[in-house]
Amino acid sequence: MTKNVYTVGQVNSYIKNMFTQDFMMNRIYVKGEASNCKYHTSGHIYFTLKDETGAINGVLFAGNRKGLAFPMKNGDNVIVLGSISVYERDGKYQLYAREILPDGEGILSQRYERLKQELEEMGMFAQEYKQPIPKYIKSLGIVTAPTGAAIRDIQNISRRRNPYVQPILFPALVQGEGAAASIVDGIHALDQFGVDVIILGRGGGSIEDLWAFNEEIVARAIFECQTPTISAVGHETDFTIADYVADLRAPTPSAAAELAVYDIREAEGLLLSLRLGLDRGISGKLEHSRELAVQYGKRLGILAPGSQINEKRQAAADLEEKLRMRMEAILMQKKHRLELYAQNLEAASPVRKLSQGYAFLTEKGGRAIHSAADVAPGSIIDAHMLDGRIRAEVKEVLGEQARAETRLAGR
Amino acid sequence: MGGTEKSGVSLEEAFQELDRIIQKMQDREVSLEDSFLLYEQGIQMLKLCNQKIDAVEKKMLLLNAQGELGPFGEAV
Repeated sequence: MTKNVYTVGQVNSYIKNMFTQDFMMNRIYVKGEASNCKYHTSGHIYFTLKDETGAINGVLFAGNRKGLAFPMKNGDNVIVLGSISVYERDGKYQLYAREILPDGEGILSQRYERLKQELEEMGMFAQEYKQPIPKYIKSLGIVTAPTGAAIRDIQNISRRRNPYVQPILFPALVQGEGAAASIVDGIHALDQFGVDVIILGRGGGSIEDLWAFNEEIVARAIFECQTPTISAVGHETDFTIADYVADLRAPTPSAAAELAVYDIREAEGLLLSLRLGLDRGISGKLEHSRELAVQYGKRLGILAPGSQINEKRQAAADLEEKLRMRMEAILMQKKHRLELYAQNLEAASPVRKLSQGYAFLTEKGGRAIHSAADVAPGSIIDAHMLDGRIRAEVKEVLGEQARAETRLAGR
Repeated sequence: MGGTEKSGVSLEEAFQELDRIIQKMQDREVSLEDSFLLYEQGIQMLKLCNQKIDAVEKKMLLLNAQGELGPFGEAV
């Protein structure tokens, strides 16, 4: 135990050596809030750097005074470049500063966060206050610097997409002293003048460069602006308060111009297709109507009196034909019957009988003799044969029976 | 509000109206007379659209804080 006893000096020197040999400790950036700032008459500046968790003592020796370009005071957020080493006399380590910078970003981002929260609570970012960006605009207001990439980009894209949109620039100061006020003036002037959309823009830069767009007066001016606004500040990754309040946020000024200015060729194409649609509509309607007219015409034609007369005429002709046929049939039938009668008649003809050996008797005067009683003995009678006449004299008249004999005798 | 509202409907509304008219015309129930009316309306609307697209190239103008317009010098 007694063997390993060191002096205070040895321990402190050993620890100091550890610090000096540590690569990181020799060149380090430390950020925190400055406090206990003491400007010593020797020119050295003593301070304490602290944050919520703790503190570290620091010193900027007179020889490094040019490393501090601003009057550092308690409460300032600073970034210190230096080394950390041990002050052997007190057995304490401290920060030996070579350069002290204001931690602008720290302060600004704090202010940014604070304002953002405040405005958000006031409802200034609320969706229900957002105005829609009109699609087809005639005039475009621009608040940006008259020189620089932003206005050039906006002008180029606007002209390319639609040269008939009137761009009106309010040349504003977009960074440094008075920038916020200038931007506010621009918003007011364009809003009052009357444009369809306002683009607020500037190119990329550090948070300090973009700071004007984080000022409350700018936020309010955007919020109260009657004209729909598009914010386009910095690069895609930069978000400013203006972006939250504006009706639309574009990632870049170029994108803002694309969003604000409609493409004239597209609009003309749309117009053309609408025109074609109209023409198609009316010609379709006409065609349909014509078709209907033809259909009705046909139906009407069927019902027309003219066609009915024709129909009747046809019916009459049909009947006439039928009648004629019927008549012919009847005639044929009658003719047939007639023939039949003629045959029968012939069969029954006395002439026929005559041919079979019978004779027809008449008195001399020509009167037909029907009965034996018609004659007396001595009467002259004629017996008519088929091929001639026999004149005879009645010899005797007999009774019923004799008649037949007489007839025989007559032959 | 902007200058678009001065002559009644905006271009956007005109386009929508045209779409509506065309849709109506495609309806078989619409009478021929009505179709003609619709067509005429549509043509008027197209004319209006063309008027709205004021096809004159415009140069950038400058507006100052007093609300006065001036030309914007191309020199940067």
